[in-house]
Amino acid sequence: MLAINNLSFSYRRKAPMVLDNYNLKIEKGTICGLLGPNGTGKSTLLYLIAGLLKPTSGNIDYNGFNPHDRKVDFLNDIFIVPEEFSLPPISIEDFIKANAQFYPKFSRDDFEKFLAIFEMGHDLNLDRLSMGQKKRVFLSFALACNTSLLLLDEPTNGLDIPGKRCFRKAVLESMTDDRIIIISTHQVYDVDRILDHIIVASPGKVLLNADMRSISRQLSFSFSPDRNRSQLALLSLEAPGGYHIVELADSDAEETDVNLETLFELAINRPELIAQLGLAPASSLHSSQN
Amino acid sequence: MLTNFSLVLKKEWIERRRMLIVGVISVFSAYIIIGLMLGLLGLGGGYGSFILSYLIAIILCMIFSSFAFSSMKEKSGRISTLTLPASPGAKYLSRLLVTGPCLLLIIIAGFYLGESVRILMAKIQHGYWGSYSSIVQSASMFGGASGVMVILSSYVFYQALFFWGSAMWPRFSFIKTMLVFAIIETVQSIAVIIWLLSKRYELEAMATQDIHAEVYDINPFGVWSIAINFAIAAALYVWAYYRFRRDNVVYKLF
Repeated sequence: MLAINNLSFSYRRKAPMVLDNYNLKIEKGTICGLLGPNGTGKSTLLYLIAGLLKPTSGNIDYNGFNPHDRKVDFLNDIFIVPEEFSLPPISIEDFIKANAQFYPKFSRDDFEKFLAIFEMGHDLNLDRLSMGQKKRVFLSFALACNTSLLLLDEPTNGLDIPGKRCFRKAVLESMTDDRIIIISTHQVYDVDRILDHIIVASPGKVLLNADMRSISRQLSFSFSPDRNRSQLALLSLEAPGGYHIVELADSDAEETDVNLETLFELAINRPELIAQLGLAPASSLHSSQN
Repeated sequence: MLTNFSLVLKKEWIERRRMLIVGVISVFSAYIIIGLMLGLLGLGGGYGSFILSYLIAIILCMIFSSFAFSSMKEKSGRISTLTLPASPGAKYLSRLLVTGPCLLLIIIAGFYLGESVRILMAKIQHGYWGSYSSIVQSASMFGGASGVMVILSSYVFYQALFFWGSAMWPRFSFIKTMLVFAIIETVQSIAVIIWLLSKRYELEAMATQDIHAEVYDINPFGVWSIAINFAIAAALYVWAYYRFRRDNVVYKLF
């Protein structure tokens, strides 16, 4: 389990907190989406979890490790795919020879499998690939390391439409009961079918932290051309031909699929409602009341 | 402390071998050019040619040591380096090994390669076979065994300074460390001038003797010079280690 306790972080000593008193617990076997407007600290949170930054206050615990200690046993069980990355100018084979040795659970068969899902060959030189192709290779490697914690920062950036489909397939195939995958993204439609837990962050606090099932049980998402209905909804977003709306779920009705874009807007614009529905951490209720 | 050190070395070799080979070729090329020049002019094997070779060694060591932590220049490199599953000591030592002892060995090999070219050119151009100058023999011209140690300790000091500079400032490391170097050399020169002025009566009395033998004599200045160089180098290596160990993904955080 990943536990984040009273975590606060600021890049400068006297600057406002980028993360303010975050509390999160993410269980194993979860693909977690981390959503939020620009500048809300999503990448920062991933860097803190990976041990790349030291918290200003609070702590992070992953399987008994403090990430910032950067112990080898911690580092060889996590992998971060940052938004911007660079690969050395060598062949894919050499890249595997150089890097796979650090990850005890790396599987060559899995790597071949994910390369095939991403429709990439393995006898290629990394410096001759486009950015999207490099991303496919790097994601294949990350998934094949079989680390129990995988952090993906904007993983679908640079991928074309088939690439995004391949990404979803690869992530689902790599998932196990022991793994946590955290995906930070703005591209909600690229990942909405694979997430089973959502975190929505705003500047300084967590607005929503709930699994998809809990959300579906309490909120209903639909599209309606009826303007009157949209005005009565908890939130409506105008779209060509009608409105994307969110309403309180009817206990007798069938659960609907979660529309991440609408959910995101609801969390940003009506955080008190999210808190009342029990979809936010207790500390965020305290923060929002303050 | 050195967990996965051999794996780090293997990774560095696989990913950077082209650059490392280019580095070795550039060192050899520098000394081959010196050998060609000296051979064509019928020079070499003496005081002046050793000074020239030593200066080239210092410049090469400054340049290459400045690149020791170049992977930390950009955010993507910092993420890759800091999340690599190896101890900070292993990552640090791999860089020190390459820019320290390995580079020194390559420079020594380059020196003898240059000597070989010099002797060959002298034969072709002037018709005689010269003799090899060994590094130790050449360095001992500066005052015997203590001269050798002063030369070596100076080299280690320069290497440590620019290695430390690379850890402190991964971006524009060479330029920033050069500024520090200029300040150090200025202070050192002032100290030497003050010392010489304080000894001027003794030096005037020994005017016919070799001033360099006096300056680098084992008692007292030579020993202090050697000790200070090694002590400062050790301190810089330790400082560089702790700087690298507490590094973060964001450059110049605090």
